[in-house]
Amino acid sequence: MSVSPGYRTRYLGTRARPRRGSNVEPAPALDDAALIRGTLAGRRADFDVLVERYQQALYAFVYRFVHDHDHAADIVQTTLLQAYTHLAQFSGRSSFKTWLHQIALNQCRQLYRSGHGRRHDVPLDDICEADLAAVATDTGARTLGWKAGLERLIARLPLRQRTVLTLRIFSDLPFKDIARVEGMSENSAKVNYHHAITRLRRWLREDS
Amino acid sequence: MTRWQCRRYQPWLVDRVDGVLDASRQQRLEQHLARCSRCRADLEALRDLPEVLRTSTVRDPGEAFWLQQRQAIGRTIRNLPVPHSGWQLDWLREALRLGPWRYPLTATLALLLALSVYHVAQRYPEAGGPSVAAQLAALDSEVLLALDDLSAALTPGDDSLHYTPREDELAFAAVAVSDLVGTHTLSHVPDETELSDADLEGMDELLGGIG
Repeated sequence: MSVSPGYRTRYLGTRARPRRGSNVEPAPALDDAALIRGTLAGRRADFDVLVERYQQALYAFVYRFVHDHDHAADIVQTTLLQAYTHLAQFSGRSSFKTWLHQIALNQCRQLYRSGHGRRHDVPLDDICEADLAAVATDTGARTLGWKAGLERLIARLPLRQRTVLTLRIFSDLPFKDIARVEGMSENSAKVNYHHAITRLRRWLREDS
Repeated sequence: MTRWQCRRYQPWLVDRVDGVLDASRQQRLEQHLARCSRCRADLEALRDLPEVLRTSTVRDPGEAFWLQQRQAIGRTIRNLPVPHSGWQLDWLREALRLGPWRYPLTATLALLLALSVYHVAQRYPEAGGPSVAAQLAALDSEVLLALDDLSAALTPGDDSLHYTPREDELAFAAVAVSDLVGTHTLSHVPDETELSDADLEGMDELLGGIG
């Protein structure tokens, strides 16, 4: 695979990165509640802002379950459209972000039930091109192997533990919201997270 | 220390890493950690491994993809109706969010509603259907007589039926009137002006016979 030297690395991580090269202070962003009220009042452009705000985080979350770009893109689009059509039912007891993750997770489960989502191998395409460029060095190769190994191990976790771990580590949801998404108690969510971490540690030791 | 005994400390370990464990539990957890190497190792993993996992990233499909997806969603929602806001019920939704007070309040309201229904039922018995007297009045005279005969046959020596001769007389007179006027029942007592001379004569004759 050829790697363009001018390729700008883009990650779908968990933390927002400031936009470089911009001296203009961004306008104060409306919070989710205001945008939801605006959408319900008929301002569809407000929902466009919500889509832009959560589109990438949802994709990163869903991709870790399905490991397929087309499936992930479909699920994200369906999730956001379902959120729009059922927006009046959003009670506000959890955050909008949590609600979106809940809808997306249901979509992932439907895909699993249909038998299309059971893919545990992590394809090479999943590794971002900057990492592929780093293969040229020994350290880079080790890093690449490490990252691919991590994703593979996460994919091996039981579904419930993987869900809790992904929601906690990559989506930054509090345990209270994770419990709501998964339909379990907050304590169970913590125990599942504990099991996921300790199991990963054991597998990593075995791998090394 | 078995893993079973360690189970209760698992969520506490997570809370400790997040810095949200309360003081009393923290103290008990520290005592446990002092003698449990497995939980010490778990605590270390819970502290260090998430940072390692966060370095794992998902390949970005690119700005063109995001834009295309946003446009597709935008086009679709512009063809959909605006989701119904349900603003008329917002006050009710807010009112129902009363925290722990909503349960006793609901019970009190249910009790008040039940008492109201009971009060109305007592005050207006007809509201629940025709009374026994009304049902009896609606019966035809022949049916009443048959019921009377049946009752007498079933309870020949029943002393609880204390009809005075006068009550019997009035009952039979009413039945006689009903028979005379044909279509009338006990629920409709005919006015004297509705009766013909022959009817009145017949009634006088009957009452004279009884007396």
